[in-house]
Amino acid sequence: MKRHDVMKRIGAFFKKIPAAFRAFFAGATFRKAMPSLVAIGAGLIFGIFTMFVIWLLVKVEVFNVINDPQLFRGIAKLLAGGFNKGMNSLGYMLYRAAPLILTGLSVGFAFKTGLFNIGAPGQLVFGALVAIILGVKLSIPAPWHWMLCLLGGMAAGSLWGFIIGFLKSVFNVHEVVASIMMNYIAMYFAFWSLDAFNLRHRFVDSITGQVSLAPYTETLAQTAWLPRGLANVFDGYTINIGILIAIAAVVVMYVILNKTTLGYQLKAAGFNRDASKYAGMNTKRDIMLSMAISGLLAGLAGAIIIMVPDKKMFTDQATMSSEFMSIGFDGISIALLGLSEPIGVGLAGLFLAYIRIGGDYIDQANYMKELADVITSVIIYFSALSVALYQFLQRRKKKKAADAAALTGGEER
Amino acid sequence: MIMNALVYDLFTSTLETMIPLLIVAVGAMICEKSGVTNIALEGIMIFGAFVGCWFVKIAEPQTLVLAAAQSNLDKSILFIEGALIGGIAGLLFSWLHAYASISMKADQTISATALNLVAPAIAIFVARSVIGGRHIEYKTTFKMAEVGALADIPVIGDLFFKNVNVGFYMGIVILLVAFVFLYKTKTGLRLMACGENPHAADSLGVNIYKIRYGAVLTSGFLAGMGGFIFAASVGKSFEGTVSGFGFLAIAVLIFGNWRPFRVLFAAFFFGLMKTIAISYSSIPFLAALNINTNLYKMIPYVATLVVLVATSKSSRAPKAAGKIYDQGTR
Repeated sequence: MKRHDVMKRIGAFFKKIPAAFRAFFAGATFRKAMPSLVAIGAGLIFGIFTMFVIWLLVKVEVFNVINDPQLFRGIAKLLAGGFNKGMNSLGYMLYRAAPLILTGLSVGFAFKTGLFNIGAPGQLVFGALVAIILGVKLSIPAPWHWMLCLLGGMAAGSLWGFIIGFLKSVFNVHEVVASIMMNYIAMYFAFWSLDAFNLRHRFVDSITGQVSLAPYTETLAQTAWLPRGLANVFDGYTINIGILIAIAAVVVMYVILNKTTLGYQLKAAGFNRDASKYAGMNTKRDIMLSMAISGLLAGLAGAIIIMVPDKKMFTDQATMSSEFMSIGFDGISIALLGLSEPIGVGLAGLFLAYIRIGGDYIDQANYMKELADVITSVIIYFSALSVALYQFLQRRKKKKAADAAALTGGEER
Repeated sequence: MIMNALVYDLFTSTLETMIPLLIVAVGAMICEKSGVTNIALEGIMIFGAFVGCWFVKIAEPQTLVLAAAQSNLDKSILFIEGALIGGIAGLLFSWLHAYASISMKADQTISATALNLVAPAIAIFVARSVIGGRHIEYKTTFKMAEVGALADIPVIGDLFFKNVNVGFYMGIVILLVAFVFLYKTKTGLRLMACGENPHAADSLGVNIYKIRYGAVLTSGFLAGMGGFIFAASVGKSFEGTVSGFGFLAIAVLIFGNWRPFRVLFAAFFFGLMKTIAISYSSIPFLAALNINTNLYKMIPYVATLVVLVATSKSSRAPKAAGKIYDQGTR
């Protein structure tokens, strides 16, 4: 009797699930997220299709490779993403997600306030640079040292963002163009600083005593590394508190955007700058403030990337763009996927890290890991399209309905 | 005499650096004048360079000896073929940007950013999957030591007909053609009208969508071509990057204030800065100053910002550039 009762309850619970699903899928959140989900689906399908084509081309011997790609293993590895090696790869995923989430928040916040911050790469580089300078040059005890480095990175990124906002609000320079220039200025400025502040690692020849400069910096003092207490949880992977900082940033940005007057004001300026100016808001100040906050987040991301054991900044353009600046550009992708909402950005950052890790593992199935980059870039292209596509489909639906009405009307006559 | 040789050296390597910038900036100029911003140039250049270099790798003589033995004419034909194929690849690739930003009315900066991400990813992925490495290496040296009898003309011969590849002459021709097209033909004037006031142009029967498509595809063609020319002048391999030249070309366009011959000057100036950054230690008075190479590399970008600030009131930027055109909002 009792058992029957329990079963009934369980049954009732399971009966509720479809309704809950339906409610979820019909909900406003889901409808808003639909274009991103469609884009992700399209990107993944494109990736899997590419894997299939390569497999096919090798199979029919259009070209030869040393190790034949294994199609199904590759797809499984790709989709398994951060779960490929259990907790270890999951830890690695969270580690990689942290700067991605932060740059995503940076670009997303700017989007919300009506600005396109394509300058996140430069702000990130500048933040990382200041973190290196403080981390290598200073010697103070542990918690203060790394906290100071983080603050320095934030301040630096914030300054770099502020300059863009200043140029826009005072001199009417478009922020996209100014951002592009500021990115390159940041990069060359960083290279210059590494020389000027004697940050490059020195090799001393043990016999001749000659000193030569390495093409990379010294590593940060141990006291400037981010705490790595989480490593025990994640099966030995040296994950640091970066992900916690990123989550905290998500919460803070959510509160600022949704619960404060400042956030409301900045968002209003994003919706309609003229209207908010008319309403008495100081739009010039708002632009500078938005860019400074946006830059702060990107600078924080830069500091987090560099405050890791044995991490160095290299003095060549290729490494600089692949290790630092590309994370800033990823921020654009993540902000788009996450619809610029802090929580969405958090999820999008995790997703991007997840699929990148999957990409790292597909070379076990003899595919190239760059496929992950192809997939993410296709996803971004589709998410740029999908909003427009949705409007198009809506219009077509209406038109079809109108046509159908006209058709039935015609038959009646 | 040594000083002279140094000046000639600097000049020829400046020309080499400026030509891809010039060609891509001319493409960007046509595109922006039609009212579409195109910050996808970096990606398009990468894609064009990728396809063009791959073509060269297949089409060139397959041994080092034969490749070295090619006459100037052979090299130039191979170069032009590579540039054209790179251009066509760029054109097809830029179709994605045109489709997204014109037909689908997606945000121009976003779709361009997507292309910038797609191009290196695809180039490296395909190169690694098919060739087995991320480098596409070829054997031909495109630089011609002397261009026939023209190299014997005093001064001019040294400046323009020694140590150049045929890309230089292509660049100048493209600039002139673009100038004539924009300012002396009906289509060109219509194109500029699209960028200034699309609604007015539309009301006079100009097909905005068609013209903008044409402009984006043209800029794609020129950017693809510029990408190949960049890769062919830098070295004998392509590694999935054009070192920010696509973005620098946008700076050239702005520095040149959207006018063809100022763009030429801007490209020359930026090329000179890049050249000095590499070889300042061999220039006596600059070597004495001992300024860090990275500061020279920074100058073009800082100069562009300064120009933007200075000309914010008198900018010749097309008024409708970057704005989505929708007939319905007329």
